[in-house]
Amino acid sequence: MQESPNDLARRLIDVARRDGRRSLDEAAAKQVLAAYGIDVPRSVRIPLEGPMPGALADLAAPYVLKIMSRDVLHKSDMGGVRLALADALAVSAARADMTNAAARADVRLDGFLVEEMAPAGHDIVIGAFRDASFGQTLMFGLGGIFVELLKDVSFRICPIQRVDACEMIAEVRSAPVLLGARGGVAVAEARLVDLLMLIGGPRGLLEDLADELAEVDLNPIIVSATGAVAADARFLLTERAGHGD
Amino acid sequence: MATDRPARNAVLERFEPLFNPRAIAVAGVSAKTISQGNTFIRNLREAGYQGAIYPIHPSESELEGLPAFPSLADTPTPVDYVFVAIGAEAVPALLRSGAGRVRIAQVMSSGFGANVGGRDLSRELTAAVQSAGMRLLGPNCMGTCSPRGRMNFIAGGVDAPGSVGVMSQSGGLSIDVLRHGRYRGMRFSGVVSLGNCLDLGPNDLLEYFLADPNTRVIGAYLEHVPDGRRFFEQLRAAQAAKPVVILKGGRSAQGQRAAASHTGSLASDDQIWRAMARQTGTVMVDTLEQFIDVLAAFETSEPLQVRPSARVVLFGNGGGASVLAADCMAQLGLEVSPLRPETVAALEQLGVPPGASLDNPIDVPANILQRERGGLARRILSTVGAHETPEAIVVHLNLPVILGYRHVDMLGDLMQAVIHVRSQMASRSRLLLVLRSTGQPEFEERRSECVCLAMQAGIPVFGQLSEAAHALAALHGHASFVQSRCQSTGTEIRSCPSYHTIGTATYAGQRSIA
Repeated sequence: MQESPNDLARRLIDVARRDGRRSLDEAAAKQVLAAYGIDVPRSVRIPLEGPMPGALADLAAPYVLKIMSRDVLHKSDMGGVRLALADALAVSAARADMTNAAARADVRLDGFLVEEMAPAGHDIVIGAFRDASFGQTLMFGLGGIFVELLKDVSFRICPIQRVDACEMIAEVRSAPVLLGARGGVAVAEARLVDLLMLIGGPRGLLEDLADELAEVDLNPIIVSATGAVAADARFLLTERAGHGD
Repeated sequence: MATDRPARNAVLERFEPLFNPRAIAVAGVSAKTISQGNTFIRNLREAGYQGAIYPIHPSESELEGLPAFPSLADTPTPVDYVFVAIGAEAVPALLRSGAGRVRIAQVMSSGFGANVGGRDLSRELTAAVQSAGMRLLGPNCMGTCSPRGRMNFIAGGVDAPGSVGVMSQSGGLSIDVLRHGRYRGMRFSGVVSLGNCLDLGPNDLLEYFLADPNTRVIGAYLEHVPDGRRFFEQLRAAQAAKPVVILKGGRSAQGQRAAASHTGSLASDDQIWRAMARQTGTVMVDTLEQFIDVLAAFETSEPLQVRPSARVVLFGNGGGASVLAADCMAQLGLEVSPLRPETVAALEQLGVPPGASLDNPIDVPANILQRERGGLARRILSTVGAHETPEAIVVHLNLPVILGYRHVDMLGDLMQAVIHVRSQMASRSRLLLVLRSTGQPEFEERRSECVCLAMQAGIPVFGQLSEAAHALAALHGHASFVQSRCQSTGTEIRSCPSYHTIGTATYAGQRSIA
């Protein structure tokens, strides 16, 4: 019998906890997202050194190379992400660079992840925070400077309904960008609503894992006219498994 | 939420000893001075309380002209409600003495605070009420005002019972609400000071006021909600059937959470309360003045039989005030849009002398307004009401100017005109009144009379146009919420109206309140 998304997620969380980790690594986080119906880039783990695994050939170039390290929360801030690598050779060269950089920065590497690059679109951010009093809360915003500098985000308390999803999108002042303002890609609102519901809705990811997840950052999810792909995912676990506040 | 009848009745029954006690015991009454217990009894009498009052005192046999009893076990009858104003250390023992004979205790005493001694005493107090089988309000609170029980914890008696139910985690603010409310002609179903919420808290009072058939509007001043999750679920289940107005204190202090993620660093108290407001139709306000204004607006409002349109017609003698009001309304997502051509034509038929502006905002100088003993004002407003269905008409009068016309009772005439128009419009449009004045004594007495007159006629009165605008925006937001949620109940909505009006200036959801 196929494992339910809830069971899969809890299994991966158990692994992380037994490992003494307070977060899921990126590959595990994306497995959870995929189980809950959110597209993630196809990916392959590659070893710290040595030949590329045959599975790499299944992915379409260009590639993204990312480090996997328990020491690093914000990969792109310290050169832990390389985009637009044309072929396996480029991946290999980038891997060598990043390994050296990590050693110089005293960062422990758990591995490397190669991903297909997501189709171009708009960066959005979906996040969650487990409030001590109100429980799981859901956040939406546009990525990049909109969330980082302008703090142009909206929140709702979970579980949300579709009307809540619509309203929280419209509440964000930069939302017109998603409509194709300034000649950019126009995103169908139903797609954004679906995403928010998959994560924060009545049978969504946050409701299932309410007691395990302290904070979630899905930043960015790249939405285009044809789909939405979670390019990065961070799941921070609660202090003690299975216990309340 | 208690939606079924037996559950609702259980909730109402639980609070009956608080709002309609048959016997009240008071601890903290002195033979020699006027202490808090003495004051409490005097205020109770002034309010016209009809039930038994039992002063509790270890040694005195008579206090405040009443027989006194050494403990709660010695009262002639069981006690519905005990008011406690003795030293904190003595409170647990006092309440234990009432085991099985007391329904609700309201403890004014402080000293149960966050320091080590306070925390121990808190635990003792909680244990005492649990073993004694009573519920607890407080500690560190001021009391309860219940007009129907003829109880008040402040001097000045009670007014007729009304429909506004208020809970407050600040005793001082609960007094402000009572005093401002009286001045504004508001009528309360109850005002409860909650104190530290060791036992009964916001969840319980919310449940009560939602179930209470006398309460139509609920107000809450809150600083800390112990069970926020349940509070949210209660509000969501209530589906904004009764407007709930929340003044939340401490949103700036409890700002950022300690967080490792981007989301965590952005999740503030302010964000979460705003989220709750949007999801439940609850109205958040920022100041005490707004709290009173919005409660008064909801108290007098009826459900409109038309869709909430956000259109406002302004009428008054203001000049610049009208112009500024239109600006203020626009900022809040309300439209002061031009009148329809047929309305303007009809108004022009009324023979209004030059000097008045008959488009929206309708501005009529006082010397024209005084014509026909208020008859011209009445005809203008009736004409507007006949041809337009704005969500609200806001009538604003500059009192010092109007009261300057001494040869006629211009203010009285205008009040009658406004009250008449209000009864004509009833469930099609709201009517709000702004009586602008300086606060100087020569205008205050007449103003107060008009406020009470207006409130009795279902017209809320405000001091400034900006205040009326804010209250109106709250009314509109609440009505819009109820309407939009009714539309989407039961079916997945395919298209989200709000998404397609992104960027348009009048999108109501982007206002700064609620």
